[in-house]
Amino acid sequence: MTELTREAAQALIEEVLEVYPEKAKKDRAKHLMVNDKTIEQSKKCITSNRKSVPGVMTQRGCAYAGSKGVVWGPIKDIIDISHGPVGCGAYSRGGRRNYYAGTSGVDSFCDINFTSDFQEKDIVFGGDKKLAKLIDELEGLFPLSKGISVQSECPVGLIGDDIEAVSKKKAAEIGKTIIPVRCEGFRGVSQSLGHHIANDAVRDWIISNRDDQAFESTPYDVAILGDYNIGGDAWASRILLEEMGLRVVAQWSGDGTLAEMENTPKVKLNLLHCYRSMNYIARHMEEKYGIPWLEYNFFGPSKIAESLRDIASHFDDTIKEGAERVIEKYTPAMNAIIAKYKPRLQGKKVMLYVGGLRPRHTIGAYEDLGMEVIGAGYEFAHNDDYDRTMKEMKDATLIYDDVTGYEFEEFVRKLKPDLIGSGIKEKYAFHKMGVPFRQLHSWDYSGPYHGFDGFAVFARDMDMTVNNPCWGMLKAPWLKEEASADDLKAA
Amino acid sequence: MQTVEDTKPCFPLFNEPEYRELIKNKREQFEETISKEKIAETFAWTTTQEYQDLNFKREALTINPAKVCQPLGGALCGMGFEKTMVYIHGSQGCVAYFRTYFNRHFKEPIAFIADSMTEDAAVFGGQKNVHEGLQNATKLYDAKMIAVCTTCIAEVIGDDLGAFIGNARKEGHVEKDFPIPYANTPSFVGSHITGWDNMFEGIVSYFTQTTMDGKVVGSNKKINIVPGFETYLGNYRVIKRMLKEMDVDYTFLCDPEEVLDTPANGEYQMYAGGTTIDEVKDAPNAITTLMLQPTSLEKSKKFIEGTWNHEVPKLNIPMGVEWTDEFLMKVSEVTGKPIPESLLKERGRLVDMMTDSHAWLHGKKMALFGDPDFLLGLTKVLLELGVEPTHIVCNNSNKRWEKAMKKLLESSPYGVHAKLYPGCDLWHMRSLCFTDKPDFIVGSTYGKTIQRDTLYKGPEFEVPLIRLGFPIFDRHHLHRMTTLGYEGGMYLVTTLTNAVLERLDEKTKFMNHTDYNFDIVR
Amino acid sequence: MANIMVRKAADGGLSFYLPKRDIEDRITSIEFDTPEKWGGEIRLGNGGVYFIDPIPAPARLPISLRARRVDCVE
Repeated sequence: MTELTREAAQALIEEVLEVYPEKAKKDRAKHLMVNDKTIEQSKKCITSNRKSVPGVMTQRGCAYAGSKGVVWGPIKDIIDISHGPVGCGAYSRGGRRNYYAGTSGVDSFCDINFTSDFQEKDIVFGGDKKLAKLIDELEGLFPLSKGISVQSECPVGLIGDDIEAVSKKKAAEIGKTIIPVRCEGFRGVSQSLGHHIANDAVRDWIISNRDDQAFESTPYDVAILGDYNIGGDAWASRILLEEMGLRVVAQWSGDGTLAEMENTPKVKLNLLHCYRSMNYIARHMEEKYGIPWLEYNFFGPSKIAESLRDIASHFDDTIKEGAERVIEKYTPAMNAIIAKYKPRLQGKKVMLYVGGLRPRHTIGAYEDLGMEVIGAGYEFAHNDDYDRTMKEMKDATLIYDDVTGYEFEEFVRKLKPDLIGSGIKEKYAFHKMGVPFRQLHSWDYSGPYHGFDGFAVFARDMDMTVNNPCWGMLKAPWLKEEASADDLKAA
Repeated sequence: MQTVEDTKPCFPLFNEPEYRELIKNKREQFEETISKEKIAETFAWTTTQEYQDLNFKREALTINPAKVCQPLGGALCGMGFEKTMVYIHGSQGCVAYFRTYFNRHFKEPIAFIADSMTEDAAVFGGQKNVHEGLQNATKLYDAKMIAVCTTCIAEVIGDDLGAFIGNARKEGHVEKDFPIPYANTPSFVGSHITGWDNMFEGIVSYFTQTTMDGKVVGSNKKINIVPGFETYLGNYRVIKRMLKEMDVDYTFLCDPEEVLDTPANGEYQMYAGGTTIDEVKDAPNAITTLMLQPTSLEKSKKFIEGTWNHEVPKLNIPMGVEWTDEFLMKVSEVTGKPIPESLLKERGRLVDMMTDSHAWLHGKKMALFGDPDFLLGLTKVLLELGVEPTHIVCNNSNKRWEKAMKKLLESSPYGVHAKLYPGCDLWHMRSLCFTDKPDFIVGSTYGKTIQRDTLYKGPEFEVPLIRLGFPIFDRHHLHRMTTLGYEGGMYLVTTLTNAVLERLDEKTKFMNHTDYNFDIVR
Repeated sequence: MANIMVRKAADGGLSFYLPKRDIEDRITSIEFDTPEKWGGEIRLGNGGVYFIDPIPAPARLPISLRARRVDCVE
């Protein structure tokens, strides 16, 4: 397709909005915009982090998903109880692919679904007694766990349970950290508040646990925040940081442990990958412990190199030299990858609709491959995310917030991208439409995508999906003939 | 380090020495991990009878449940009707989860909508959400029907769904006669199969309850089929085919076969196929209604018997030879149509397969888990093959199921040693697989971690998983298969036999060690 | 009154963060900026104006404070 003009893009948005009833139309209009790089503050042109319109097909999740699914779930030595009815724990099990190394059921608990499976009597009489008993049972069966988190599902907040009191009491009894998390699904408007609530719970119950304890630190101690080790992302990032001479004291929270989190206030610099889900705790540590934080981006060699240098600039020359050494080491391999895949992907257009950081963070990786992002949007971003995104996107590209199934499909029909990066709920509709698609939440069962090693997989995956022969078979040959015959007639 | 010629994804990338080293160092330096010995000792303890006894004392804690919540079932039911949009009154996160769960199983787009209740709705009730939501939904999705079920937030605060929808009509948010059947599907009662039953009752009662005048049982000369929570697409197809071959006119009440299997042809269809409203309205005129999952459809059955005055035949799920015989004979009996030669031949072919394969299956011990009727049918098939079910775990069981299961097991010498575990979960099953090892475990993808855990104890303890049931996330396209009827029997015999043979190859493929019995012929 | 955080920006200036409203912007001017008295009316890059009760200059940034909205642009 040809480049859209600003006017054409705006007209497209208006056309798509036509179908809505007046109120919904007015509301949705505020969430769709044509990018204008001259604007500094996204607030002037896009609204975000507002309630989804009832009855339209939002792709958003809930606070529980943001807390249990995103932040807490990957911490491997803490048991997360899905406290409430049976569904939530099952629906959030395993789909995220946050990898861990450990012995499941003994010292690691990420892939197990623990739930209080609320019954009607628990709703009527309250679930606190059940919770207390459940914690005893956990302790009996999983003695090596380091702690327990109570992840509240919707009913907990509605029936007046006091999970904080139960947690406090049982924590004293069993001598382990127990963290009550008020992440009921009805709180907030998306996963986002769940991240915030989860961060606050870390702040209140974990972060200052070792304030008085000694820690053998080095000048090169850092922590990785906001990397959930999807398909091993955090490992592929850690390896680079270690190679440049840094000591990674903690991973939050992919393959993370309670000890790592408790030791984080001792580091010299917090490295923040997913800004949306962990900026809260980074800001808290900055204020309380004076630890600066730095947003970085480990997608694609250009951004990785830029980030490595940025990170190194906070340290002495040994680290700065380390960063250069790492970049130099990987450059030939990266060049070879680009040499192979860029000719196959050059000029391909991409539309993204993902969660908290990827719609902006992956742009550089696509550009490294010669691809161009013509539309980007977030399920649960805030305006600070859009501020950052507008700078990365070209002029007259589309930006969409909490896009509805209908809007996204229409945008795709009109803009005809060569690749869509989004989630599983969106995936199969686009398969029917014949648009190459990669899941960008779970890396479509592949990964890692972070780091230099990850970029190799990213490039391979984008190529295999964009260029797979299956997309060419959607039209039966006899229908193709009919179509061209019709064209002839029309001419 | 990656090279362009050999780019490695997670596996085997993280098996490379540099990553093994990285993971090991992280563990030793920063995780404050427990000693290897202690972990080994504790793992070994989790495989013991002592641990099992402790495990079975659980009263409050559920670990790895083999069931999910009601609205998921309600949503699947709603999908089975023509141009029906499933609308879920409650939190939007639930709906994202339901869609995702089905996306992963069917590898298909799933269109459900939510009315996104948030904190203020939790305080003031969800009426505003229902009104605005229904207005948008009717305008946007070109639906002929909107089927409403609920999540637990709406149930806990006691939203009056009927009144909300009534008011939405009165206040003009939706047209007065637009069909909006609904059901309460509280997540803290029953499971997904209960939700299916509730939604079904909600839909059929909405269209027939007040219009029973003039309805005459048998007047349309059809039979009704009610599938229940059914996720094998082949099962819809096989029942239809058998009835067609019998020349029996039927109405499938709830038929998501098409919408869950649309072609990739350049257009996304949100709706396809499904039972029409006219068919539902006409359903009381049928000769009778057959329930394919009889122990899980209590509420629907009660409605059909009470309001439609159908004599719902006492049948089992038509799985295996004899229960398919029984099903076809019942269809023949109520319609007067003979069972045709073609089905007799198909039956013979299934039995032929059983005679061919029995030697590999006879006496094999299998532990099973899944939904109640599926387990009954599967057990029946196993008993017909001389397989011995050992541990049967049903997380969402009920008394009817227990009774029926006991009767079935007692009927066969291969069933007498089986034990039933109603209400138990897959952590119970894990213990059972250690303390009384079966040859295989049969069930959904969730059995996978049991296979891994048992293998961790040692290769001789591994219990391989045979994937049958719902959900199956980690193998492709199995949802298209068939488990009902003679055809379903063929799939089951094939699956079970080849699982046994694959396993045998895995155990015997070591040259100059165990490669006797590693045969070309079997 | 809202909770805000003032931190040192990468360019050496001050930045203003109001989590509840997602406002992250540079501070263009601050009414009082002496060791004894710090705060008062602060102006943001987006034109918004907030007021924080003057305090002795904080020894360390970032700092969480309560702020009153005087004039906001969004």
